[in-house]
Amino acid sequence: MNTLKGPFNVVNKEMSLTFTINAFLTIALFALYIFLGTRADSDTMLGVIFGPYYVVFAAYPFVFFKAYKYILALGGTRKQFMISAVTISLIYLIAATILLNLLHLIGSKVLHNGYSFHMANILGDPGTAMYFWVDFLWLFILFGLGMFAQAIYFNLGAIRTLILGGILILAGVTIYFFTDLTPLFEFIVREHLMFLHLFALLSLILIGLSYFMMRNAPIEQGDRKIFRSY
Amino acid sequence: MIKVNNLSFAYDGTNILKDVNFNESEPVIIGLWGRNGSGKTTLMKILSGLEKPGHGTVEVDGVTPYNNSDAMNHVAFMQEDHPYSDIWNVNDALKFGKEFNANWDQQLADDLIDIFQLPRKKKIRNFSTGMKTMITIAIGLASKAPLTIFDEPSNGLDAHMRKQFYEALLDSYDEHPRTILLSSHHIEEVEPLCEKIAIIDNNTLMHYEETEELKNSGVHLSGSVDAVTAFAGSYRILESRKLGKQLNVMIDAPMTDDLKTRADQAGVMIEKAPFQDYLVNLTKKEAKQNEHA
Repeated sequence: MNTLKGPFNVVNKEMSLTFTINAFLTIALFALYIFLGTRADSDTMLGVIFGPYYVVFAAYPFVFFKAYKYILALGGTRKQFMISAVTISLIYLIAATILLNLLHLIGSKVLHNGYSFHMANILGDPGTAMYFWVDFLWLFILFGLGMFAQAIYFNLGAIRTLILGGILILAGVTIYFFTDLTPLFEFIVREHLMFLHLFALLSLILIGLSYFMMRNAPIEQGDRKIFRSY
Repeated sequence: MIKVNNLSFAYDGTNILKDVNFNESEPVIIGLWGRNGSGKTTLMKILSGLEKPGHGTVEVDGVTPYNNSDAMNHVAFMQEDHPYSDIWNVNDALKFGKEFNANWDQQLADDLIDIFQLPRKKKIRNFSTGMKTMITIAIGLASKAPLTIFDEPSNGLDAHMRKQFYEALLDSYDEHPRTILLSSHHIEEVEPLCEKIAIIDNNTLMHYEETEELKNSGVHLSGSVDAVTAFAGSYRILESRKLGKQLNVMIDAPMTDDLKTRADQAGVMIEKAPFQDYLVNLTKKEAKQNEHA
């Protein structure tokens, strides 16, 4: 018996509805831009179609983490939950990338006036494959950040997470005011593809850290003890 | 089947379980009884792999349950407030039950859903407490896991449904013997089903005995203060109540013909104490203090 089949299906059940709703929302946005394109001036930026999916992939961990307690209650393990969650998310991530870029390709043929902005446009005019790759990387980055945030929130609970968040914000503001960040911003613009890959690598590390935090996570949210005594 | 050696578990520096030892090698229906906060739920969580033992070892059907993906084929833990997703209906819950349990009996699951008259397409979040208990029972029994644990399995069930559950459990056990652990605050509800009773008190497993042996313990004595005091002198007194010149006591002793004869000779009225009362008195603080004195 494949011990991952059940956990995969539990996670999939939690994620599929959100994915489908976002697919309809993205297609509706696309249809709206096509309509607006008939009335716009040429070279007018009509909007973006990646918005719903970019938002949902950052928020997805907050949706599918409900599956954690269902999987444990059915006899599964924390590791099975994490493996299933990351695998199913990657499948949806690839599906979202394909949908977004197919719509973008159709848009480029259909729209004569105006255009919808794609994150790969920052790179100039890259090839078709790069459009797919850039969307994949951004979705992966957002997913990794969301996963890490949720893993911290789940382990430490609301109060400790807010304290941690407050410290990070203070540190960020301090760095912003006392350090010259111009070279960083220049790097992001000039070496955008490199920046994306480094950011995706950071996201991969955060997913790995999330796995380590969750493989012995408490049953209830916020119950992680930093120091244990038996 | 179940091997628990020197198990201890603490939370926030407080001992929840301490030096629990428990071995059972045969398929058996066990009643697990304990007062609130005695550590019953923690023991069930550890047996099912939800919690990691602090100290000691736990083995169920040859596997260590914590974080072991293989354990899902050996143990099923149906919680009192078993979590179900807001978007699941009965069919979803059964589908997942099947995918998580190698011994799953779909026919039994379907039969139990019919017996309990559960609407298959209604969302479980809209079920009453009793209906949620019924779907939990159906999944637990159909799992046919070598160790199946039910926490407060008759919670919210009316008398008719409770009877249906007991019959289904015994039929399923007869057909497919396995270890079934029934936890309840009301021992008299599950005691008729159980071959053995485990009692948790003072953070440890205090008794693990044949139901008949344990059930026979606990005797009420009543009569004049002098007669009862003299008769009960050598026994552990679990409860004592004086009413004028009358004294009523509960002693920790098995009800035997010899005890009855001696009580008659001593002019003391004797009767078997209700099982639940016996357990409550056995585990109350005063009883422990007497024991230590």
